[in-house]
Amino acid sequence: MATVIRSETHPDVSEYGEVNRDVLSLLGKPGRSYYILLAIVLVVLAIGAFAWFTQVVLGIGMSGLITPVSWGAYITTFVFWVGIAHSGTLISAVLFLFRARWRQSIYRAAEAMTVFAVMTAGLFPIIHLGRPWVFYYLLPYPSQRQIWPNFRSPLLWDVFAVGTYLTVSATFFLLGMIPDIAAARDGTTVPWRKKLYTVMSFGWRGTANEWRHFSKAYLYLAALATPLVLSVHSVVSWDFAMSIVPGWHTTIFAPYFVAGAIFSGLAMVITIIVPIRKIFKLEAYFTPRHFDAMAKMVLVTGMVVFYAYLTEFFMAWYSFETPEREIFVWRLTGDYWWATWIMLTCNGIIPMLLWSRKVRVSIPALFTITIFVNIGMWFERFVIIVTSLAHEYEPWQWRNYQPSWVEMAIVAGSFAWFAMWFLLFLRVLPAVSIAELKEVLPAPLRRHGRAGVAESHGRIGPAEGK
Amino acid sequence: MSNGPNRREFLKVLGVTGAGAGLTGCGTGGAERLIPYVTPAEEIVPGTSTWYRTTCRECPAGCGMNIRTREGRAVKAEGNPLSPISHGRLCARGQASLHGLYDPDRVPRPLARKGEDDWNPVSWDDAERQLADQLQQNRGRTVLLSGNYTGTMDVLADQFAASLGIERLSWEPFGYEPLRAANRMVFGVDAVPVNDFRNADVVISFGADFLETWLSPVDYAHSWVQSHAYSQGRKGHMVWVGPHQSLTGLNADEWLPVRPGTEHLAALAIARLIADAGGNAGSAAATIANVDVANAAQRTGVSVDRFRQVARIFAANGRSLAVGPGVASTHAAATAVAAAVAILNQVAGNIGSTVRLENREEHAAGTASYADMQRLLQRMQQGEIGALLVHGPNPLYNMPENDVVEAALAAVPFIASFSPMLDETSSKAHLLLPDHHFLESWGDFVPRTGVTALVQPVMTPVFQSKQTGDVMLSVARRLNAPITTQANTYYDFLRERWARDIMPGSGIAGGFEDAWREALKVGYVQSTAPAAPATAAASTPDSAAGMLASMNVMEAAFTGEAGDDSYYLIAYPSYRFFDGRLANRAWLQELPDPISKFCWSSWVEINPATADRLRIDNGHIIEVTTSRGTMSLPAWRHPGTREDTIAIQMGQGHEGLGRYAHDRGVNVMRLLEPAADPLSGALVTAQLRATIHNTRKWERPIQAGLHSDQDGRQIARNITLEDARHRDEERGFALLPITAGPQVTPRGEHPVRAPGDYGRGVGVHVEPDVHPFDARVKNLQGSAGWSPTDVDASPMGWPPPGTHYGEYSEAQPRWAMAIDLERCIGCSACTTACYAENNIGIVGPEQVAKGRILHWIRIERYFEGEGENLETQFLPMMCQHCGTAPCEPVCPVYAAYHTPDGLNAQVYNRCVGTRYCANNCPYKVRVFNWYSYEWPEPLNWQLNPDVTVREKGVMEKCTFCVQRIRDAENTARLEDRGARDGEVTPACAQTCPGDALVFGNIKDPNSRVARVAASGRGYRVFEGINTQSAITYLKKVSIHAETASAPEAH
Repeated sequence: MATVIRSETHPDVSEYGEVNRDVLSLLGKPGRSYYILLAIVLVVLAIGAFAWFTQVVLGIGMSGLITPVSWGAYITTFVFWVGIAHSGTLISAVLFLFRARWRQSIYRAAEAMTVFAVMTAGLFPIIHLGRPWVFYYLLPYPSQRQIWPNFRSPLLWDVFAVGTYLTVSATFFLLGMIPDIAAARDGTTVPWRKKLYTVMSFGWRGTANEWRHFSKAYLYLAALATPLVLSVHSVVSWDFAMSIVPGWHTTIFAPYFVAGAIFSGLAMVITIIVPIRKIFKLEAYFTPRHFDAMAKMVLVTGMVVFYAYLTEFFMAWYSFETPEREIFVWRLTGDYWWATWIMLTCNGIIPMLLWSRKVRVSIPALFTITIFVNIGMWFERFVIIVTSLAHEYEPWQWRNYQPSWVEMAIVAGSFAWFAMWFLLFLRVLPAVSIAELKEVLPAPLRRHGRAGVAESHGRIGPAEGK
Repeated sequence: MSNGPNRREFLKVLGVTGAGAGLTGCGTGGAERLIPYVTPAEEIVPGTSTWYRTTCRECPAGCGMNIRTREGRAVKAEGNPLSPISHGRLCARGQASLHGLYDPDRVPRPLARKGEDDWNPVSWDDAERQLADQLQQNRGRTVLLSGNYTGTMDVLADQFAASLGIERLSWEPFGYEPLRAANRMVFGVDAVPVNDFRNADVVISFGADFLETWLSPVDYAHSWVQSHAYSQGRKGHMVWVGPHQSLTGLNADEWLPVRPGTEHLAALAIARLIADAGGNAGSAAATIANVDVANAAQRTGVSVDRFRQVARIFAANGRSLAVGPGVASTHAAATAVAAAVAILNQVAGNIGSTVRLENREEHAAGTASYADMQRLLQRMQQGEIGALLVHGPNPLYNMPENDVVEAALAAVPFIASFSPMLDETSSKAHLLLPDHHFLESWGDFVPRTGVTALVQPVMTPVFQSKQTGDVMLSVARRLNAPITTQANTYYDFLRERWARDIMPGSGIAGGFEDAWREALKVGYVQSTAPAAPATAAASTPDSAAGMLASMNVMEAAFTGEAGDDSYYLIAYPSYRFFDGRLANRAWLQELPDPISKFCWSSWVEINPATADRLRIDNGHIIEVTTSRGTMSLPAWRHPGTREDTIAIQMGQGHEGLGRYAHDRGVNVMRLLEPAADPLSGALVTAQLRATIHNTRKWERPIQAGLHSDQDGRQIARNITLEDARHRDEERGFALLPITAGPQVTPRGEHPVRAPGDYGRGVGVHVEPDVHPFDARVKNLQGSAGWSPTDVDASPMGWPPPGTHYGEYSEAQPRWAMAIDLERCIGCSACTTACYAENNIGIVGPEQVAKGRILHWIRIERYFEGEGENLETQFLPMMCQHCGTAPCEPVCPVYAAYHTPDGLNAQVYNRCVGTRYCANNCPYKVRVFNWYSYEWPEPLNWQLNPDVTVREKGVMEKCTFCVQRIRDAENTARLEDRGARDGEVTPACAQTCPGDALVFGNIKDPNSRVARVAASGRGYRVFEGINTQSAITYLKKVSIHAETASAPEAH
């Protein structure tokens, strides 16, 4: 009897061919439910687009923004999406560098999420402008009047940070997919797919030399992307920390925001993968072991975030500054107490359930918890932005903000925009890395070789497996 | 070369077409007549302002005005600095007169009624013929109901009326009948004597809101501030007596919250205490002898000790003044209040010094009373009146019992209205003959005996209106009426009368033409002939004698259920809309009310303790019910109202008038009974008890500034008189001995400079006044090894030593402002002036409720304490033009930047609207154009051509009127010199009746702003953030302030 060697991380996947079949099956002709889902997403997106259109034509007064609270749902959602964008780079680059073996099946989806989340986030700084038609004033283009943007402004740093992040993460995403797209190219007969994959696979043939170059490039890009995990959200946090607004002006903001970003990003990965796993029957590829590992990271970053909350409160008390102290008391007890308590509950208390291994490996429990984390992290940004502005230095100008229908439609539209890209991605590009998965699978047994010997840890993926 | 047009030719053509387009762009309505560029008008130089002197007719005070015109259009109203009434200042109503001129809802041409709400346009010829026909038919049965005419219009109306058998009736809703009745009784003058606030150290007001609407508010505010505000170590004192604090009440140092209807008892009690201490009661001795102070204390609800205290201060020297009653305190015993005030003045020896009988506030003289109006209505209803000509009054709005007024108007077969607006009364007329706005008219006005002010047109009429004086002359000619004048136009008639009556007594030398020109240049003439002294009443009428004898026991009755949920109802005049006639001025509707900060609506003022009891919060909709009906309006918790009293402002709730006034708030007159004071004939406004019911519905209040508590953040600060003196002594300012107010013990000896020397403040280092928390922070920072930030309280410290910021501006001025909170009365005229000067958009009620009002300068009104210890602080807040402005570095596109002369500039074209600057501004003075706001034609004619009109998506804020700065600098440069101190005055500082705002170059130690800012009371708001702001506030001196701890050694 031949011994069957099982992968440590994917015990239910037995051979390379199975991987190809399973993953590439996603690229087939979608079913009716897919189109219904896509249609719903497009309708929501259209509503959001219409809302933005009215805002551009009539003025940003269509939002609920008011004089003390000049930033609201738009910037909240911007920071939310930038935060979501963090997990992709973290999982693909950082975990790659650390050789975490559980990343292979999820990193493609996480990278896609990153790229789409940045594409979503990048809309908001333009949407929230009073005059979005002159957004290019923010770019350092060589104007004939020699007017440059103000390099002291954190908003300009944002332009660079988000721009860089989008470029690098998109490159990383597209580069890492080349072998898989080549596999798809060779498997498809649909003409447009053939054309698309031919272009995107850059003529990949799977030679050893190509694999060598590819691995090196991937490694270097991973090294390049890693610092961005820290820098992007630090810069975003400086939008607030560089100001003098009580509740914003805090040195803790950069690490606090980075931890929060990873926290929310990982939660979002879980939230997205759970339904995909179910719908596309990929249980063999996303195993409880993966979820356990991600849940642990959610727990760790969640605790960092919660610690940051407590530090903020302590520092406010310790600062002896009246406005600083009052804003933190007001957050807990003032008109926006509900938002603050949603934030504290969702981000601080509920993730504590993850201490239990039972919870970590229970997919429904994990899914529910991550939904709460997503909600909590949106409210975290809302609390930081809105409560601080609504209750600033000047009591005469204290006033509360309520999002308008336009803002809600645009925020909903941003989720639809993200979902649209993700749905298209699922059907057009391989959502699970074929090549890297094979790295962690037992090598196929040679018909004439020694039985039972597997090269399960070969560095170079067996291209001939396809 | 090609034969086609080359670039140069193309540009030439473009230039010409562009200019043509510009010209046609102005061609709306009568604009062609305004700017006949083909044959250039003599006085119109494009790009250059032309100023005209005229007299404000928005309320009966008659302030002298300067109107700035550009390209033939009036764009800005300012006070005439030569005028003895306005002193170069205007209130918000005067500032907003341009919105009356360009009101889009003016009656554009003569109209004849076709049906209900339906009008036929008619020519002026037809209209006058119709009017003449009617006058012919109704000879002897016609009444001319006008506002208070003085001067030439009065003469013409008399001639017109006499020659055509017309009966004349002049009526002002605010006619001050009790004052006139009491003065008739006590002094024998049917007039209101001039009150000299400038020379009154102590003022007691029995409900007279002399800073807002009472008689001559700009003059009184200006004068009162001179005597009241802290200066050279001394300060006046004001006591407000009444159940409800209006703006004037909020400015008082002390509040005696007497029970409604008992003001006269308080006045008599104080008079009695003064008389007991040796005051000369004169003829009133008998009345005073009857006064029982303890009884008065019990009935008014104020302790004898407080009366004693007030009496002591009031009688301390001959420089005191008692005034009252006002419109809001006109209760059934109002004449007794006026008489008691007169007696109090007499006892304190003020008659002839601060109350001058030889001069009179003319506009209050000789008008009909409310009782006369009631009689007229009766006659109308009985069909005795065949034709009614209305010019000015709006009885259907301003009188209670509007169903009766409406029925009376309906009973008159022919009503002609000269009102330029379709107000409630004129909407019942049969013929509309719209008068010019006063800025299009010729005329004169006598605000005060001896002062005759000229009204001259500042631009060609906006609509096809015609001056009523001209209509009268023309109609008289049509009917061949025997009028004595040869004049064909009112202008000729005016000049004729001036040549005959005015100029000979004016002391102006030369021929009439020269004198006329001179008078137009100055704006008024002063009669050199001594005014006729007030004649004593030949005999005291019985009613007066009876009243004087019994006034110590008289009590004003309030009708309505007395019970737990019933409250005294006070209806008080509006600072913004006066009696309601100005309610269609968008600027005034959008101006936050100085008291409540509500815009565009009405509200009911309820004491916070009462409100707590009834679980009422600001914005709850309250049903107020009196015997006349029920009205729903939002609540506002006003700590300056007695617990048993509620107050509603007059002026809103119009059914006509125009788009801005229509259906906004409620007309409180509808809640009042038509009761007249039997002695004076005045409408009794304080007469009813009302019940209130909280509907528990809540609507977002249309209010700017929702928090009246400054939360201990020391934004508007105050200081005791003792500390203020002490600090000024330390700085070497000359101080005068204290003459009034609470006693002060001086602290040791200090060098004293010569009187009049403000000191330079240079080199005087005084430990800045720091918040206790700031001090702790400083200590903490010091202990942590940081060097403490040395914050110099005076902007002399700008730029701070050792900083590089602003060094490039060494040769430039540093524009700065000093704001004396002692002199700010919270009237908000600055806000409206700023709207007028800087083309600030009007956002409307929904946007104001959201908090999107665009005012660049706002008056914050903070309350501290409660009841008798209530302290109100006003603080004008605008861009502080910080030296280290937090808004500047955060702008990603350099739209917010620092000019070399220290201004914090905003480049509208560069702004993309990230709004980060607004977030980072601790003063929250940056406002954002959430939409593009529009000015309906012809309101847009008012727009200042020197200031950009902003579009949606752009941040804006106070610029220190940079256009005025640049204008002055350019003028100076042409004359090869630097700008002089005082040459640049921003619109807010220009109009401030109290002269609270002082602007200039603070780098020049001799400039006025530098000298004022050096005061020991100076501080800067949020100094701890180290914004290095350019605005120095001077603390209010208050009896409620806490004494600072002994100064630390340094």
